Amino acid sequence: MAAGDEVRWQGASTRTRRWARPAAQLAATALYSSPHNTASAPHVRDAANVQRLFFYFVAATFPAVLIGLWNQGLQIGQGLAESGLTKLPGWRGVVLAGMGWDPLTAGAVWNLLVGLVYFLPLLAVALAAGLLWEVLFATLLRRAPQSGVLMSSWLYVLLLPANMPLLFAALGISFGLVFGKHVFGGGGKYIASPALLGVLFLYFSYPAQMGDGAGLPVPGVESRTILALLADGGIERIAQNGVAWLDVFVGRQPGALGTTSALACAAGALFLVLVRAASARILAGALLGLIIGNWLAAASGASTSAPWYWHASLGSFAFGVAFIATDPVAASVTRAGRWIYGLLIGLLVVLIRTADPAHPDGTLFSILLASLFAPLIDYGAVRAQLYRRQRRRRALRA
Amino acid sequence: MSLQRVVLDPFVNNNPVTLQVLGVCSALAVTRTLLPALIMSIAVIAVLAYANVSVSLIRHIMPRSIRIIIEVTLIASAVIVVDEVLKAYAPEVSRILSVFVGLIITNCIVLGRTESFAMSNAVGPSLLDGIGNGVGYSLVLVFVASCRELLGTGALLGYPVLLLAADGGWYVPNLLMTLPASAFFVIALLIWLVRSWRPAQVEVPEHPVAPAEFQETA
Repeated sequence: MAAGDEVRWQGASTRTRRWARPAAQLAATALYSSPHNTASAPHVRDAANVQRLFFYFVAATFPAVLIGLWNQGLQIGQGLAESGLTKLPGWRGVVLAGMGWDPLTAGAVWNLLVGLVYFLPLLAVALAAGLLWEVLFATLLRRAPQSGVLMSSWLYVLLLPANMPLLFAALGISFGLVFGKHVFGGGGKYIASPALLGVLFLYFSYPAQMGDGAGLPVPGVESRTILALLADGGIERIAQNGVAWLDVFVGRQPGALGTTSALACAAGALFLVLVRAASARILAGALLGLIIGNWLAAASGASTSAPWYWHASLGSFAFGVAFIATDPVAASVTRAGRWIYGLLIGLLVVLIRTADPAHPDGTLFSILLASLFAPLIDYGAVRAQLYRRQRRRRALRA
Repeated sequence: MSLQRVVLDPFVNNNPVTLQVLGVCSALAVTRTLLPALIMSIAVIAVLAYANVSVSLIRHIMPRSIRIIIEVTLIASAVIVVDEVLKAYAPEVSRILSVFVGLIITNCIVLGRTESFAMSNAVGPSLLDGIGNGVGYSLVLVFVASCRELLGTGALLGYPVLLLAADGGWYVPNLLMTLPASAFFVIALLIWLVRSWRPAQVEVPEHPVAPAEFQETA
């Protein structure tokens, strides 16, 4: 929750003023932060307020966005070559043709531009919808708007496929923010990441458009994720298709807009740990859970078993663990709890990938399930700590 | 309480689903399309009216200690009759409703009304109370089922209302609405709407959050 959120506007006498105030406040605090800083006991007094914490999450994804959008342009170019078409459908195709894009001779910069042409409208729509709900709820509840809309919308769009219709993108983020955040009382009170809920809403509502998040805006081309290949025929199938691990690790694989590069996600995670926005325990726990789960799956002879570094760089695992699972509100907050929460995510990812052929990538489901268990995990961790302290005291007294 | 209030209160002011949050299980299960929801509504109204009347009739001669057994027996016999009638005259809907007709026995609304109203009121008011609560339940069921069928398939009672994109129209059906979980969201939205309209129904928060302390630093 941003500092100063609980300040209620006094004397909002006229109807216009009542509606205009949260919007004006939102515009103002987008650039500089609120003068209200929490100074009471349990909080650290520091310049890094919640607004900045949320921005760290956006900034940490920049490398993943760069590589992801470049990869998206690359995939779209390959899709076009495969389909034999020369230009993309829709207004984006017209824009790209007008800019002078030629899919046959395009280089890295063009690939990035193509990615941007698909990414920016989605981001604009998601942000507009998110800000609309924020202003609406701030107005109706007579409070100042809260930060977090940019972070939620940004992470949400990075989990979408390039061919997601703009209307559906707006619907998804609306569901995520209203049912995932505002009904629980807004920022700081939700139980699962709103971005995650928005994506899962689209996954269940519009499976044809959402799919594995790898859809390309090229008609007639079915883009299959490498995880789908893995579910089909194991690691041998991947080798047959000539996919090299290093390519996948750097980010050259069909996938959602920002999730393909495990390398860039790892760099972002490192940044988040260094600025103390994310917990290293969650990240390490999730990776450890994946390795243990994968070892168990391999030992039981699962057909989808692959070396753990393959699993860690496929699908949205790297992105989800680095930026969604570390959500400062929905994740566990105790030390032991964070290890368990991370381990649970890693293990569940392998379990879903191994045992559920309908869902080749289980990352988002795993994070949602673990988020729902986070309060219970924390409760157990606190009880265990209290028990240990009591036992120490008894030992001292004896 | 006037007879008019007995019938009309369960519609909105004391709705068994949105205020008392009873009978939610069947409201989730049978509301994928409108037709089964309508049939289910009629079945519940019939069972509620019958159970209330019969319990009210024998309320003076019923031993207190075994009243629940007698009430459940009465409700169960009514439900079995309803189930058999459905199987005979509407076999397809009966198949869709499957166990949920039988589960009217365990619908908390039915036992709740016999216990809280029919046990202490005359036959006439009990009949009206049963019908009123049945209609209150039905209103919710029909609302939820209409939303789900319209958004999930673009049709109402099987007749296309929104032209589907697959048939050259504009509407892309929302498949989440065909999953039972969506009924939770629709019922939640309905409760939200009703409580915004009638703020008296809003519950007092059990664990209020203390306001944070602020100090001006600028």
